Amino acid sequence: MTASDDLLVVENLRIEYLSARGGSCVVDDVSFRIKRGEIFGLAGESGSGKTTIGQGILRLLRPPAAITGGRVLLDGEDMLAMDEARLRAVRWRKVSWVPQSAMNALNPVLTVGEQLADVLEVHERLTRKAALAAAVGLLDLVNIDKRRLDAYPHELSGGMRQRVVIAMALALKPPLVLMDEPTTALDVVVQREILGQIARLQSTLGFSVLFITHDLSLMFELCNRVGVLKGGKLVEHGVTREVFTNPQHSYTQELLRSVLYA
Amino acid sequence: MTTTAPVVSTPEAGPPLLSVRDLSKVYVQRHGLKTTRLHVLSGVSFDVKKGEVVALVGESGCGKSTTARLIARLATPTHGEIRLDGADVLAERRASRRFRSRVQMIFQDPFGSLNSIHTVGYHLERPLRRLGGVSKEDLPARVAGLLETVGLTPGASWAAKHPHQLSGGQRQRVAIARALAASPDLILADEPTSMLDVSLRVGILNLLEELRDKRGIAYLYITHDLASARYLADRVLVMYAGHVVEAGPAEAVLSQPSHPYTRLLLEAVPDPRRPPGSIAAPLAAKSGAPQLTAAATACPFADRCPEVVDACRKELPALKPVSSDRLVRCHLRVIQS
Repeated sequence: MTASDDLLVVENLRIEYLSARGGSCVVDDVSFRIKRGEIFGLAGESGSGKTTIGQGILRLLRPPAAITGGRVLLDGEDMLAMDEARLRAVRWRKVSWVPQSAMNALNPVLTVGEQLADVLEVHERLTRKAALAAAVGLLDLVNIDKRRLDAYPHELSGGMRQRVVIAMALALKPPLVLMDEPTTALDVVVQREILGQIARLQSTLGFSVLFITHDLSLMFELCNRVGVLKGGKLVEHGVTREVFTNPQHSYTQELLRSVLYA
Repeated sequence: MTTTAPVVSTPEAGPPLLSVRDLSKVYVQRHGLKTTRLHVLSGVSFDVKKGEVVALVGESGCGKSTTARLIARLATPTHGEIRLDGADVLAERRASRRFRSRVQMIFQDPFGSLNSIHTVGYHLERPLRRLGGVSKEDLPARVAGLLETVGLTPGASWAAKHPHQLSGGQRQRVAIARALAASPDLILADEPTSMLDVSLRVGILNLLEELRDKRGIAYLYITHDLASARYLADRVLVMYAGHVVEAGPAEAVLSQPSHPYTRLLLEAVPDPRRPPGSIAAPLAAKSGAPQLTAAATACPFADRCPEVVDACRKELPALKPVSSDRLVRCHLRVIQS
């Protein structure tokens, strides 16, 4: 039964903020599937629950937020039923996370090389020397010169730091990468360069991406299939072209009307 | 008046509201004995007419915000001239009360520009009293009126709220109302929509446009978002490394860009009409930060330019007219035309 095209299946996911006065539902009955080797976009305004869904899939939610219903199947295995040990084994190796403001996600007191090597040392049990050599390969993957291995994060531009974080997310070659607004703080040219790089890496390495964004234009240009969130509900999802040319939900239509063209 | 560069303005006659000539800013950084000079802005000249929207566009570090800060007198230019209705603004040591009521600013971050311990009403009362000369008795009605002007109705109930009770879009509306409180002729709007959700941006742009139409307010609209510049602006100035590299009517510049940098910027803007996956195609030019440490002796875009020729590395091209209302700073364009 697991021999399907679907890498990630989210079914009737429900996430609530629990309090003494009862719960407030921030993700309400959300279902979608991500196929192997596709980029799935999830768009919505701030507060629509898009980041919460990403954190829910990775089981990173902290109280008072809690998953109160639904299923999340990664490669057929129920993420919601995993214990801590299993989660540790799955995170990064099977699904990795590029956080929002990834530019500030790096440790300021360690060099880029040390941070990349740490991942490989711990998860791949490489020696320090082998890990550093592999780190060069990762930097190469995102077009950063190997001389930058000894650079501290503050010595790199925002776009370079972002690419280091993306390299880090790809370090263990996970089949699924969740990206939460990975280019929001960047200039248009740098943003375009990084997204182009993500698209090229994705097509050569074949991983799947859940791409979370508030920018519809970006999502439509990058993703194979897209979903639109409003107030915690997935109001529409489908193949990018179809959603763009023939949006069914009034909210999607309204969002598309607010897109400006240069 | 001595001007070194042609002035970017519309052909019609009439005294400009704002006139900027050869504006330059050099920041000096000292690291012990070593001193570096950053040429952040180099010889920028342009006019803004009453009720006109002029957009300054470019990437971070191009000098667009510095231009606004110099005009608002939040920093002092190293060189150049700023005139408001012909009067030399820099002649006075500090911005006068009159100047501050005529020129107002809207900032990018609506979460940082409002004081969280004060009500919305308080933010509007201060400029109304100090710059607008409104009496204490009239304040509540004027505050409510301003809030309703920016779409926060009923104004009286919005005035009692604190910033934390407002969304980003609502906060930006309050920031616009605060700028309006001084009855300005010119608003310097520094990326007023870039921190807002895409769906709210058009609403704010429409509000700015409505205020222009009804009150004749002019804007210097600073943005990296070319789509919004095209939507709002009459004219656009494209900046790179502290230089204006292209200028002209917004529609013409953005539909038929001439300078290679303007082309790059346009190519990089996401467009949902392109087929999915087209984003994987590499850009014609690389990203990269320009060197600002020396006064330019070459075209600052030469290292990134896909069309670079020898002349580009030898001499800074002048900003020259390529048609009646368009200026371009590029050796190639001048040779061709």
